[in-house]
Amino acid sequence: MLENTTSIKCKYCASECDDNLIVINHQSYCCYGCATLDDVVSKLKNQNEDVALKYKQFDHPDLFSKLLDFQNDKLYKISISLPEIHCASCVELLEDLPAFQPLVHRTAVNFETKTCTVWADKALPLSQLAQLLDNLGYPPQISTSKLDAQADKKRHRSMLFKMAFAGFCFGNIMLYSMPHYFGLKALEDPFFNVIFMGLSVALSLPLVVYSGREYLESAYKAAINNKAHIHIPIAIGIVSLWLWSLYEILSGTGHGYLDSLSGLIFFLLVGRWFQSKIYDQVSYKRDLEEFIPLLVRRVSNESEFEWSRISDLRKGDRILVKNNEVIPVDAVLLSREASIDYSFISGEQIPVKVETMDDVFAGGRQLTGQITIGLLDKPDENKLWSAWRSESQKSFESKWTNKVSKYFTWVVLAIAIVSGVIWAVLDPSRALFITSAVLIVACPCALALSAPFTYGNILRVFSRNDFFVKQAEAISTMAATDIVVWDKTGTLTTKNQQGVRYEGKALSPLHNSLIYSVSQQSTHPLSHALVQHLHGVNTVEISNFNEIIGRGLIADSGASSIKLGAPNWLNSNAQIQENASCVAVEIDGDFKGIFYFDQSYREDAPQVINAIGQDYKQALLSGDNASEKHRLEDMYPNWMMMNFNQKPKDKKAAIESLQKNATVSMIGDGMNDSLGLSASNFGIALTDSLNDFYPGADAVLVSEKWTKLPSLFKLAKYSNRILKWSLIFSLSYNIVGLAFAVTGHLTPVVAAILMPVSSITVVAFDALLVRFKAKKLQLI
Amino acid sequence: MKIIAILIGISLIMALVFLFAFYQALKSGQFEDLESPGFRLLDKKETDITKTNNNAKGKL
Repeated sequence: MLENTTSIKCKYCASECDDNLIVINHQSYCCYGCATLDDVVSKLKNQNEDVALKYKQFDHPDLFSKLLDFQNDKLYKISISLPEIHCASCVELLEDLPAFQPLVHRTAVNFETKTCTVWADKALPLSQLAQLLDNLGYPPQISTSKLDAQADKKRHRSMLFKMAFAGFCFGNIMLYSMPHYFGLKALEDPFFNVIFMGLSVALSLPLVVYSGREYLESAYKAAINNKAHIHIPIAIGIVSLWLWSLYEILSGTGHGYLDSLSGLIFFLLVGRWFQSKIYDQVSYKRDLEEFIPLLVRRVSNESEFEWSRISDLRKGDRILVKNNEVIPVDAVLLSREASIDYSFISGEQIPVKVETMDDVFAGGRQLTGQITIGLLDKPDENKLWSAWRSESQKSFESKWTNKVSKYFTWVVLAIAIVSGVIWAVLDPSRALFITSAVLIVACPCALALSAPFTYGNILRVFSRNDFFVKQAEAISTMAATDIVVWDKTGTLTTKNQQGVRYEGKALSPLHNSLIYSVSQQSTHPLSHALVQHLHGVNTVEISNFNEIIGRGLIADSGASSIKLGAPNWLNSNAQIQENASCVAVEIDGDFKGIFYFDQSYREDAPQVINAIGQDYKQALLSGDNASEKHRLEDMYPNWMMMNFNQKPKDKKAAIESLQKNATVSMIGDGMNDSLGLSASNFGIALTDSLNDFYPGADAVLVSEKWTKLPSLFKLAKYSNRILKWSLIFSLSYNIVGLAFAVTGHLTPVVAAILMPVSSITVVAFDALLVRFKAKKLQLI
Repeated sequence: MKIIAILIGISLIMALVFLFAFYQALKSGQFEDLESPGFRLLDKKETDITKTNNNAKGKL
């Protein structure tokens, strides 16, 4: 199938196929790479026309218009967040979307924010677009909170321009101040003085009002609310600097400090820009709304259903829930029986069996075919979601800088007044100058920069280790941790593999094949575990398969019959170990034995727990039974608390009791422990994929990197020391400056040098220390 | 030395021009994504390069 022709364009990459044209199925390609890619991509495109439920809801007209950036009769534009975007190839593939879905007109990827903007024809439902992206390996996160994102963008732009403007003023005012720095006599004649001073004053007005506005505003707000805030001393510095400079210049008594003022504002804004840039890159924001099923199937008459929003449901409505879907609201079961997996909520892996008119709870996953549930009440605020919603908002404040700035403000004001009074006695004409000089030089810009820069650098190190913290200020809480609380299932143990052990009569290979083949038919987690355990044995044909919920499986194969299930169902005298998960086997009426399922711990679990145990007290809260207690005690003997059979609410209560006199960090898996994670001061969700859902968590750690946890905690803790050192550092600058100020020697040159030097050295010092410590902990 | 006054004026105007240019660039979204354009360059397809040029303008 090889032919050589010229100037034919490759179907996949559109480049000219000069020498090695490859024709496969009447399509020309320039190389085998393109042919393979085209094959893969076209398969992906054709595969799976089914659209998952979670995407189907996007076609609901109300929702659809809410999600869009823009639409007209023919096309629509939407920005979709694709967290899986990883490298240049992703960009290429996604921007090639129109090539294999003609209804997509154009796509543009924003790599930094991991979003893709799609312009698509109205003929392509949003659900199909979402499914296509999912099939390609980029499960989309389509958010309804569009407005926030747009406001963010606007704020980002205005911040950048404020910074640029401050830089512009800084450069120009510096230039006009040069003659004074160097004492150039030729330029000191009144003509130039008027030009230079006039321009400086003209530039300083928009500088303070526009670029410095946020500092003044937030200081004012904090002051009238009687709260300490680092912006208060900064605002005092800015205002006194400006007013004094205006006074000096207008009265003709001096040249003012406008160069220092512009430098100060510029450096503050650069610091803020750097901070927000890091935070945007490495922090993780996920909206709860993205995970709630927005539409449910309401049964309209006997055989039909219609899509309906949860908020439109009424008392008495019946809802259809298909296999493997999440139950959207609290309700009662109308079908005969069902098996529901509440592992999302309770962490318990074994499904709960319910019968007609039993309660079913939102968040459970339905495992048995299709069921109908009925609403006893209008679901105004759904319990599960509302619990997540209300508690996922935690606010962290940088207590450290606020605490310091409170004392700082009063001390500086005191020094200013005292030195003012003293100079009023010594030399009344200079008293006002001294007072404002003290206020000017004491401006704690270095202090204000040290916390964001330290946290920013730490965040960067964290994200390199796949540890994403939602808010930088949360690091101060992480650093203050006294007790680390662990969840067991899914956190210390892995989710997938379970250790399986068999006790009983020996099983022949045929028996194993039977067990394997029967287990394959069932979706029960223990059946899955058995299939994994026996993987590789031959399969045999199964007939008369029957699953009795809550009991086990019955099936025939050829002449033999097999039963798998709960030991007491097969044999009431079965001796089983207490508190263990197990499956008993009966073949041809003969009780063979029991498979026990031990949970397998993550690799290095003992090392990680012991390493963290060196610095912190540890507690364990598990939703499972106490069968693993001894193994856990072998790993780490000093648990301060070990609670088993904990429902999420119990975990929350346990954490709250620990919090009475300690700061508690919890490490759990995202979905199951949301209540505990949000109750704790700092909640870390361990996750296999960043696409998972982790409400309540303040940070997310990809589980492969979990052995880094002790180092991550150490680095967070080290931030306290860094901040203390930078405080000493910046205070020493302030003391030097104050010495100049109270003795009346604060000339514009001294101020202009002292301010940027202190800011820059403190920031560099923070960055170096973080880097040094991270290297030592082998985090970079 | 009075010539310096004119030079100062020119420098101020130039700086303002740059400030304005920066503002325009900011407004057109050039600072929103500093990485993907670099990746697009690696993508050899000519059609795509023209396409993404349009995208950079951020208009429909």
